[in-house]
Amino acid sequence: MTAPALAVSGLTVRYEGAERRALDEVDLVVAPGEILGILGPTGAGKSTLLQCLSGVIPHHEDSAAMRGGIEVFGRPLEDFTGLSEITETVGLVMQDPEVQLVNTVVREELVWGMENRGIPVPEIERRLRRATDLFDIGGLLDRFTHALSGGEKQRVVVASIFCLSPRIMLLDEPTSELDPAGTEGVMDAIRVLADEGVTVVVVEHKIEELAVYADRLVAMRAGRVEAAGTPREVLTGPAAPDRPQVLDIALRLRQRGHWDTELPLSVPAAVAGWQSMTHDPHSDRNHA
Amino acid sequence: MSGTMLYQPGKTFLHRADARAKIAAIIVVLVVALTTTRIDVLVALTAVVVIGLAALARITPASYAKALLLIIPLVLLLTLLQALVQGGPAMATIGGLSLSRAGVLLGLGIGMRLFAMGICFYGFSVTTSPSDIALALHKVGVPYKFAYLTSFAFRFLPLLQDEARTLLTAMAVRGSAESSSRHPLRRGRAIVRMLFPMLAGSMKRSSDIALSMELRGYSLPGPRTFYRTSSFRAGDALLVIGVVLLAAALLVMQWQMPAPFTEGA
Repeated sequence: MTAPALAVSGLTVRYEGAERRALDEVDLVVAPGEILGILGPTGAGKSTLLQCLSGVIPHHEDSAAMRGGIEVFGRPLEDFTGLSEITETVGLVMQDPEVQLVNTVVREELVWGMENRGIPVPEIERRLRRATDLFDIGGLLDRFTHALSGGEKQRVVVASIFCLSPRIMLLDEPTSELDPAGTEGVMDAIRVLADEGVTVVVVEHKIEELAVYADRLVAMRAGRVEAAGTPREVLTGPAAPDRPQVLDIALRLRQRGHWDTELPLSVPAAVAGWQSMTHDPHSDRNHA
Repeated sequence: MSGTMLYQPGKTFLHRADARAKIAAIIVVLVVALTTTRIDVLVALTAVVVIGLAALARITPASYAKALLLIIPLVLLLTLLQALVQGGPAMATIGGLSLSRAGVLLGLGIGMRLFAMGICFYGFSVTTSPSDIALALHKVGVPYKFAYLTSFAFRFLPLLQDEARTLLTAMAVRGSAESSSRHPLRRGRAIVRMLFPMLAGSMKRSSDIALSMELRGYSLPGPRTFYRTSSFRAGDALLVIGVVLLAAALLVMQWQMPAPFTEGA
């Protein structure tokens, strides 16, 4: 049996001087090649969870006390020698792109991590081409990193972690500074990665996108997992922190007896659902 | 000012030259500049640097004139101080204070030295990619982890500028007239007030940046590959030879030719 990409059990974290736990007995299993979306209000513990999964806590952040177990492809995280070894399997994209750009030119930014790992130059070139295609940053390669827009910085940062070919990618709000088209581009790229077997855990506030792209969702609140399951299960359940607007409208229509087909998570699904209802020969809405 | 000191990509001779050759050339120019205060020698050196940058990198004086203007008050201050401190015959007497001719010449010489070195550094920084500087240092034996930090400094500079701009704007929108004042003293007060939050912000940022570097294998012990390569070509050797010949000519000029301005003249 294949080991899960990530297995978390009883994970509890408390920051020094904090009144409550940042994470409280979190249990989680993520399958290889799965896209897991994490939802929750500010302070729910989403970023802390990613920091634990990437080994930043406790290896870099020493003001947090952590207990519980994390296994990466069946190997306990404490067996890794340090952050550098963990990052060979797990790639983390943090919230603020500004602090993750450590070179002056985009091309150098993309190749820097690969150079540090001693990856041969032909392979660096292959990955560079792939990253520029996937994240649509070919036109940025010779630009200065400090002169990029927020959205461009975000795409470059995600691409630079992608270049390292981690088996697991942890993304903390990777589209927060992107416009709708840019968001869709990054989410499409994430889908491609997952189809190729990369496991993706993504923290995101753009619930419309997560509802469509994620295989499973986890809803968190005050450091605890409140609900986990398919997007439909979580978003239609009572623990959903928020819902896509289209789903909210469909739920209200259902309460009034006007929606009796599957609840939609996206606008195209809502249109399809509405069409199926209005074309039902037994439905009295055909002439509505 | 620092914004314009950043690398500007190009395809000129100096852009393509190996960073080691440029570093060697700079060292030679510095040695010449620091071994003399004779104005004629320093003017000749500055002129050659200006012409060299225009011919080999298409850098016109207009592009660094603004930065040079900022040095002028410092040069005037230095000249005044030297004129007051140095002995010898007086060039002029102002308000009972005699200004020594030797001091004025020395002050102007030091000023010309600053001009020559400043233009030279400007030419180097705008034609040399930070990663090429790191690579060059690594090739001459500096461990990559240290060599990279020189390249990283160029990345950190715009970050600090952005941080300063944000803080000054934040102060201005909350009614601080000093932060948007054109008066240098008032503006200076706003900058002093900004320093502590800027320092705190920089420290937080540097921790996050360190983490980000760690996440991309900066501290891995294994061998590293280099995507960019640099090789020392014939043109680079010619650049170094040319600068060494220039230095020799200027040293001959200093020792063999009489100074046009003498202390007692």
